[in-house]
Amino acid sequence: MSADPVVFVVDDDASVRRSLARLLRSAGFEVEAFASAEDFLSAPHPERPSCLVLDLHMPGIGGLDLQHRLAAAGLDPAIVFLTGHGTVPSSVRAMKAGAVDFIQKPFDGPDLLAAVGRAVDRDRGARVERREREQVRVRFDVLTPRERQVMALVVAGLPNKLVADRLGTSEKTIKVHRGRVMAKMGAASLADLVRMGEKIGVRGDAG
Amino acid sequence: MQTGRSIMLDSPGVNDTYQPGGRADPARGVRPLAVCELDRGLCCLRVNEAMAAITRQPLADHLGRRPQEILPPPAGPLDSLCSQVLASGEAIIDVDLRIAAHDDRLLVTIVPRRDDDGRPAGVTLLFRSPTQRDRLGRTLEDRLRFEALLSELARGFVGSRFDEIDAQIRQGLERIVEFFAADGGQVYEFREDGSARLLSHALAPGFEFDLPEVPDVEFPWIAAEVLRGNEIRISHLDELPPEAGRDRLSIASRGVRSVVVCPIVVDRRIGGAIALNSARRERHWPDELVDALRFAGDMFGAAITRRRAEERLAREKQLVEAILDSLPGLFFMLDENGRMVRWNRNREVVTGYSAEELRGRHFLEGIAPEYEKGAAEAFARGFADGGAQLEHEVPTKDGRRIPHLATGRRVMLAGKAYALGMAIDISALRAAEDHIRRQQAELAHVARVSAMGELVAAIAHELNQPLTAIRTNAQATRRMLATGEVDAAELDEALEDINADAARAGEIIRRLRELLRKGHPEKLPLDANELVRSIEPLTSLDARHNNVSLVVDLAPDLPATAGDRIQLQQVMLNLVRNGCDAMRDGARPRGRLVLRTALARPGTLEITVEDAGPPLSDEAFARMFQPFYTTKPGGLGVGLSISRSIVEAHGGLLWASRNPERGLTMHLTLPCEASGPQ
Repeated sequence: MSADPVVFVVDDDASVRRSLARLLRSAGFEVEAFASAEDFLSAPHPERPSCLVLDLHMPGIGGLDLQHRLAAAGLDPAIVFLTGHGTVPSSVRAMKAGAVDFIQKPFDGPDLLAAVGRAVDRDRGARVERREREQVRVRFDVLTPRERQVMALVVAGLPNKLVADRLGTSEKTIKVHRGRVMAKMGAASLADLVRMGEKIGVRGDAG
Repeated sequence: MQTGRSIMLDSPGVNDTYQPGGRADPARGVRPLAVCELDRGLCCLRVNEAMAAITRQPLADHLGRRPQEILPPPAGPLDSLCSQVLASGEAIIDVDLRIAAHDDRLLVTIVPRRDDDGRPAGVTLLFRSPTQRDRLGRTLEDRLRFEALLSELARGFVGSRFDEIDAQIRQGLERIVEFFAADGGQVYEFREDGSARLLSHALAPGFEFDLPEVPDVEFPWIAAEVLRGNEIRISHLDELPPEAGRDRLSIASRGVRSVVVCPIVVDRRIGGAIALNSARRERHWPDELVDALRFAGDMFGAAITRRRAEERLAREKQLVEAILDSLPGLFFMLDENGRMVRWNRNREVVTGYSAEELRGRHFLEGIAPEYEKGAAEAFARGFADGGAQLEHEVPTKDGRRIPHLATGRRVMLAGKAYALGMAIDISALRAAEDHIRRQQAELAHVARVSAMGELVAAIAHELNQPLTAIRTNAQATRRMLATGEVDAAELDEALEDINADAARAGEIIRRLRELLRKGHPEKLPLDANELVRSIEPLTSLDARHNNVSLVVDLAPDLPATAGDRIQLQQVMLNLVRNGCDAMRDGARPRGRLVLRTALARPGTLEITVEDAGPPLSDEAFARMFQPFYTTKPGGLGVGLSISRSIVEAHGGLLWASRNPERGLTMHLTLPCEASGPQ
């Protein structure tokens, strides 16, 4: 994975776009600038830390629309919104939908750079998180249905005896299943397994 | 005139052909005497109905004319006979006129009249048929006395004032009672509703009886007969038919033994009755007496007619005065020279000038000086074409000036032309107009400002862009400088961007200022391309909101035009907004609004605004320029109509056409110089 972050700038105003690119490059970011959301969507997106600096008001697909489309596509990019004037409802919607920051034009350079920095960090963190989750999911997928049942009850905090009662088998059999689950999941401890379960949303019914 | 109790006409046996029930027999030839009074100049003063029947002309047409002119020929000798009587003071009796057109021979008696000082005052002509003559008096002396009575009766009414007429009737009645030695006489007048009232009465000395208060109730049968036009002669009360029981009672209770009643014609219908009574003895009422009674009735009827007419006239006059004085405006009636003949009370109240001050004044004196020329023209026009209107100001005595709208027309009154009309106070109207004009100006300003309010948001956005770019560029260049890695070319590029954005911001502010100015329309040299470019930044927010991309296609080298930049900008803004709105309604994801300039032909340039909105209904297309027609919810429907009037005020045209594919194109033409810029 490439460590160099890239900042995507989407603003229909050429002048603003150029100045943004200039400022971000001066701060060491790699910048890719687009005049519209459509242009951005049709460009390739390499797997690397990134952030989106997005103008709220644009002809065609607006900033909020783009945010929704990306979310719908399962992408969760870190977005720094730029807006011409205080449109509170828009800001709230954008933040609720996961925007990192909301910056009013004209902005202070350090503010923007800080916001972009935060967004890139978040994106980097999110990517790590996403990768881990994918790894857990891959391991979970190799468990047998019985082992998944056992794992769900174990991460819910049930002792082996109760797990056995619940599943209508012996405690000894459960012990064997549990050992296999730990091994297949690569969990070093029960706590480790619980964390993994949380990551992929495996949850047993303790009641 | 010598008076005496003549019994010549009431001698029993002279004429005893009366009918039981007293009905007149038309075949008997009893006709009212035709009477014509001439003045000293031998022109008609008055005639009676019977006379009119002979001449077959309306009563009024006789007045002022000589008998020769009104009688069918050959009435030749009549003029000289009249002159002779007037000169000699001697009456001429029973001249056979032999008027060919008349179905009967006519005998005329010409009697002289004298005024109170004994000087000749004129003559009275009495026409009768020979049969009538045969029944008249036996002696010349009797005849003359009788003629003198009739002449006196007739004269009494000539020239009398209408409020003296009742008194004249009373005097006449007294003379008749006296002449015919009756014991009493009455004149009744029928009202419109058929009820009767006692108008006048006379009694011989020593006689007295209750006067009938409600004659038509006391004498129902007689009243009904008279209303049918019948005369009633009763010598003995037994002659009354059984159905006249009430009448008989009423008569008998007063001790009256004989009565004669003749109808009186008023206004061409039975309007009254004249009656004589005998109480001392029963008596016959011979034809001669009835003739005289009818003649007197004729005379009274004519007088009552005149009185009624004059009362009516007086009422009408009062009504006219009342109407004139109640008029809220200034009534005027001017003679041909423009002198004030009539006015209403309100003019005195409004202007403060008294009637004395107004009388005979020229109407131009009542009009403020600067309106004099227009007023004189309107006056002339009113006389030429029959009607004119003029707005002017009326100066008051205390120096104020009140705006009025005068409407007048020519009327002909008795052969003379007058200008007649009214001036209405239009102060309130003027004030309201001023108020509306002020409000309109205010509203136009408010509309402009509130449109600006929206535009300010757009402007703010537009300003934000260059400001953002400037600031960002400035900070980028500082960073470049701070790191020490300065690429001169890049630095120059950034500074050039800053420069351009600052210019862009300045331009936006300049345009905003122009748009907000409440300027008066002024035509200045104008570049159509520049006009289109100037509204571009103002429309981009609209365009953005509506998903519309603005495309500008400007023709190079357009000749200059002239116009009010702000007004035309507003027209363009209006067209662009309409286009944007239309496309939003069209629910198309993205539409194009094309602004284009072109030279339509030498001397005319054209700006078009082409949208891609949904199809417009035929009705909407036909009515889109009508004021207050709108298809937009909450729209006022004035934009296009105002726009059109603005463009037309610039000598251009504004119209719409349908695009082949979809949407409309608005066309705006403006006159321009014939050739392009040098």
